[in-house]
Amino acid sequence: MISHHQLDVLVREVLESKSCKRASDGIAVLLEQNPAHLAHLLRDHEVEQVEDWKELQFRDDVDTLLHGYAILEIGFLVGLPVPSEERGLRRRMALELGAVALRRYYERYYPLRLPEALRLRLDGELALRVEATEGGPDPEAIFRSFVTAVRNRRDDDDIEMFLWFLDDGFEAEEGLPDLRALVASPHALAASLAKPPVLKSPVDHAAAGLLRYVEYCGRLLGLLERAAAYPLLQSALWHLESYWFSHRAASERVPDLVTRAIGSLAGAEDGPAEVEERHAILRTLADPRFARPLADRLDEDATKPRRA
Amino acid sequence: MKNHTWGALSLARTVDSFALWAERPTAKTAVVFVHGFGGSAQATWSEFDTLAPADPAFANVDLIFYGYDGKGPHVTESSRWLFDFLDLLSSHAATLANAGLVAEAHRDPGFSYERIVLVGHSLGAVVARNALVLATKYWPRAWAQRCELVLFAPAHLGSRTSEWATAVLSGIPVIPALAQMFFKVPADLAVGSQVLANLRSDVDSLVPEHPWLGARLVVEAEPDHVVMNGAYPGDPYPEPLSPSTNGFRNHIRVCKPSPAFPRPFEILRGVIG
Repeated sequence: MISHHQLDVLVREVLESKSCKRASDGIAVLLEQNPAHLAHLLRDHEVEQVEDWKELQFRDDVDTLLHGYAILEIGFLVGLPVPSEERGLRRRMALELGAVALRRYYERYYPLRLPEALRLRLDGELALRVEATEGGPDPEAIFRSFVTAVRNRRDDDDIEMFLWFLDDGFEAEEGLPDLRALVASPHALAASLAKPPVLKSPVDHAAAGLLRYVEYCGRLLGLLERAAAYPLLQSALWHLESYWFSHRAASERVPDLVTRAIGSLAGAEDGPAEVEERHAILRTLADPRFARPLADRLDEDATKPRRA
Repeated sequence: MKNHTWGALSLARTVDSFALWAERPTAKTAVVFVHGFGGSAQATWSEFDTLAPADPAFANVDLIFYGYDGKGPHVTESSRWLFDFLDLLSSHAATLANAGLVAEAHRDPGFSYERIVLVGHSLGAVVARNALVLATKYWPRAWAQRCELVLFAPAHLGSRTSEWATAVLSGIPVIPALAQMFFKVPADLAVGSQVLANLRSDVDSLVPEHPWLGARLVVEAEPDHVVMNGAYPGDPYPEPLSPSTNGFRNHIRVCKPSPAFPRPFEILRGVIG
């Protein structure tokens, strides 16, 4: 009994944050008044660096908005009703996802397959759907659990600090090199984890975040395995967090940090088995097989002739 | 067949609580999951939230994953907050459920639960039983009599030395010397703490006339290197479970069913009947 009410609840949850509203308002104004500036704001950072904090915030807001759209697409995939043409939500989604500057941002510069799938759905070109199998797990329950886990991860300030470091970010002049050094020392790591919150520095938060992130990865893998009966759903869920698993720097750095941190805490006797267990989870999450079912369906669709 | 609707429970002093509301208006049972130290409403009970909605035994059961700050406050505060939540759940169940349910599945305004199964893990087991003591001895509530306790690796006998901190670290077995040096047991859960002594004394004196203060079922992790195992007034003989050979990890995994370790889910299904 998935209803419009459930859709409204999900929309409130994922599209009505301050960040999403700022992004939507900004896109609407720029589309009307200065589309070229919107394109500039959403440029490829490899071509032209983005350093101005206002630009960084706008892009961050757009990323949050796209994340919300990605979640909605998975909601539609498991049966949430797609809003009708008359609803403002549908018009807003179609306008934003169809904007040339935004499409270039999420389809070319920083490819995100779920917003692309949602755009195709809204355009009436590809409506992907996962049906529950008789006696199988409920796809919506898996979707909900996954979304809850991802939301908890995004709300966890320690994990956010760790991921910021992983992306070469610095806070109070501390960054990834400091985290590497900290987790390599059993004494320093244990002291860091035992500090009361008020005494923690950014690298202390990142160290705690690293351990919780590894636990989070185990939970995600469990949910992906539960979705094994529905490869398309499994793939869509994976795509929601794929940046952290497939992004090259992250996929190389996290196992190294895990080796150091768990080796430090668990010692020579238990350490190797503990480290290998976590490495196995990270390796599985980085497996490109998860990417394929959704990517293949989108790529197949891209080769179809379009209406004139 | 889909039986439940997901809904967030954004209430004062709760953290990331959520519910899976049974869509059948005949629902009369609520299962309230209470996590432990450093746990969370979802992660502690990993896979209960996907397994239960797909199981016909839970079709008439509301599943409530209660979240709270399990690190900062004292056990007595956490217990009172859970008491407040249960009070609200008992008196305003229809309001809470209907906010998440579609109109066809709405409950009558006078709806209330016939059974409330409190499932607690570790510290959550202490918090849950303490909330029931509050609702029995100090601020008597009729709903207390409709409660049943199901406890996984309860911390009511105290936690083991400083190895407790490993629970926060996802079951990583910390080198003992490091643990001794840096990690302290939360005072409320140290063996022989005043909080645990008061709880035991209350339960001991009250349980003969208030049997709901004794657990319906207790599951122990075997071995458990985080909390002390043993007998407790009013509780039945515990069922030992060993999801792993590692006593740290056992403590954390004993309440996490999976395809390879279905027993925690089977146990709860058996209680629901």
